[in-house]
Amino acid sequence: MQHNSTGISRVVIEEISAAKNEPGWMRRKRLEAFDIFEKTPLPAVGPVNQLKDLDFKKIHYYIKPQGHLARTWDDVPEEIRKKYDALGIPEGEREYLAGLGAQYESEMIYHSLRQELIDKGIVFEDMSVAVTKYPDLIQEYFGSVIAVDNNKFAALNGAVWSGGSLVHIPPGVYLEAPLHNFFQMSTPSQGQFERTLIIAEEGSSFEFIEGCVAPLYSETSMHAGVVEIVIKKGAHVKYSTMQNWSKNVLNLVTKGSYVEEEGVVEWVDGNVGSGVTMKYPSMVLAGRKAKGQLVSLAYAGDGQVIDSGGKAIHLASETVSRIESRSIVKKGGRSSFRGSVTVDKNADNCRSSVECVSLHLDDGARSETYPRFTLENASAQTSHESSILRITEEQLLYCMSRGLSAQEARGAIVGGFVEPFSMELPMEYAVEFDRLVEMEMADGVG
Amino acid sequence: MIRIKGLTVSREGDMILRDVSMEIITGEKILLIGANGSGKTSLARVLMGDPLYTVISGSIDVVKNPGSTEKVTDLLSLDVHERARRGLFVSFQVPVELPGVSAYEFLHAAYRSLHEKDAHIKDIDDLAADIDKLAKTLAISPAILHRGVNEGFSGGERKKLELLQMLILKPRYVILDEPDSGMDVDAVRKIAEVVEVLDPEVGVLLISHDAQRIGIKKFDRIFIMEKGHIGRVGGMELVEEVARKGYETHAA
Repeated sequence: MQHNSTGISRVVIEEISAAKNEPGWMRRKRLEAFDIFEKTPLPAVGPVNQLKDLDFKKIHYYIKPQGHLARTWDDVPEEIRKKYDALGIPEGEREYLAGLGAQYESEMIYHSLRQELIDKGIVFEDMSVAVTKYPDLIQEYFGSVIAVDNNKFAALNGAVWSGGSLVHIPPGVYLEAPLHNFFQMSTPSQGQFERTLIIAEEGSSFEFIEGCVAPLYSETSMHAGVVEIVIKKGAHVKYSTMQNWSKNVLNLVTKGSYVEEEGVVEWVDGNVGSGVTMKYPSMVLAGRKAKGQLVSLAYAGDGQVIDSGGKAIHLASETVSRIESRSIVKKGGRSSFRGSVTVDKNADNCRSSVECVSLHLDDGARSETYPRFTLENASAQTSHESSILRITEEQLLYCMSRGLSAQEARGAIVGGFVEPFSMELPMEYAVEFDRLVEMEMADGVG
Repeated sequence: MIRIKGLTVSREGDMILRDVSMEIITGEKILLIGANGSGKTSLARVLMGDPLYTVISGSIDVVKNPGSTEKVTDLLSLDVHERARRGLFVSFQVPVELPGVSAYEFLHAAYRSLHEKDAHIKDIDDLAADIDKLAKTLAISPAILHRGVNEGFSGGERKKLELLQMLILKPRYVILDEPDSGMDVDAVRKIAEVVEVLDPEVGVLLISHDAQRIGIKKFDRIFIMEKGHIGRVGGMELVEEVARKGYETHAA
């Protein structure tokens, strides 16, 4: 077993599958995905320059979790340690976030939640375990929302995925406390090729949280996760992500949802870290009156490329989608937004709104919008707005005339800009997130 | 008091103020009137520290009391927020929008920065209760306080929020620049009420082109600005005179 060596081949995939004691059908799925990965070119649009030198031979595709324990606090970059101080993250949690493998305190929280899950018949399982424990669910839904040939990185995930969660919510079940992906991971760095599958049965409702506001240090440079959500009739799922990986990370995630009649999906997606991000959560509105909403926020500081957006596919009548994207861009950073809305010819009276607002913190910031509407049904009502904002001298003067320093004034104005996003976050996340914004503003802007 | 002495100012190469002298004494109310474009707002902006204006000569100092030559603070050497922290509050003629920053958050941040050294600093809940109370007094709809500051506000609502901010932040020197513009008659009455209830130790400079509309009964001094300089200084009789004859009579 050469799991700590680099590179990818059929042999490596066979080894990963064997190490996990997987059944043959999953091994075959992986090998099929690998063939597609090999045949699929890199994306033709997006951060093409940043990806063209990507050497798939140099990447570790499977790292045994124990490997992380050898690291010490001194291995964590000072920049990240300073941020933990500034954010006031408790000692024990820092070690966990930095990938040192200490016990995370939410283990405790999860402990009490676990009984509720059992009582309500909710499945929440590590994906690797779920393959043998819940083969019927996996065989039916794995790859049903994000097809293996969706893109090169989704195919790669299909071949080498490790970690992630299976969530199954029975009909009519309502879970108040959100589930957190950390509950299933011994260290957050395991999220490299995460695979998450959520199935919300009829009339069920729950919220899932992925990632955290605090910066996560990752040794692994490429993250290519896949998240699939199946929402049955009248079910409601809110999926919130906060991504703040260290800047060495390429974050190439594929996320999608399939929504049946009167179901609702809400994506809340924040991307603050990583050098390169590609992410376009999709919502297939397949049943009458299904609704999908995506509220996202991206921050592109110096040297960061954020290529994000969302896709709404209206297949049924009276479906509604809303995509609201905000980005904050500094000099040397670049944010591209790709919003695409498709309305099928059989889908009557659909509504869709797409809004993209970019806040440029200085003159060197770059942002672009690429909206795409494919409307095959004339009854569709769609709107698209995009704008670039800057902090004006008059706004600064106004805030300063009330006693705020220039830096505090910028912080307040940027805080106002992110408000429509942070109000969607769970309370404790919103507080941490606001502190993060203040901190980022204090960092570079004079 | 704030002592403005021989102030000459340009903006983008144009001479805006010439040799302006004025004292804003704590406990007094003074009125600055003058035709549109005479330089009244420019004086407010220079006091605030708007970087668009260049002070060519003259001084603005905070000194201890009338007649004293002891210099306490040279305001011109201070940045905008440092002037605010010395007790200066300048209301805006056209207050700008701060989308997503609610009045509660904004005022809490401002209050904290202005009063961080006070022993009896109010916490966020007490401050919010004060804001709600004042909003009621000023007939500001509670709903708009949860929007961003001035976001989608009418002209009158913006001006009322300026008054509310003044009352919350408790400055020592208040410069109100055309506080009545955009307000309806009922709202205008509030200005006089609010100015009357200010701490008696606050110095007020009210800038207006139509002082009678505001209805403050008594000013300690009245200045008429003409083409960037102070044309006349006097008492309440100047208000009546201008109301009868207009500003033209005073032009040199």
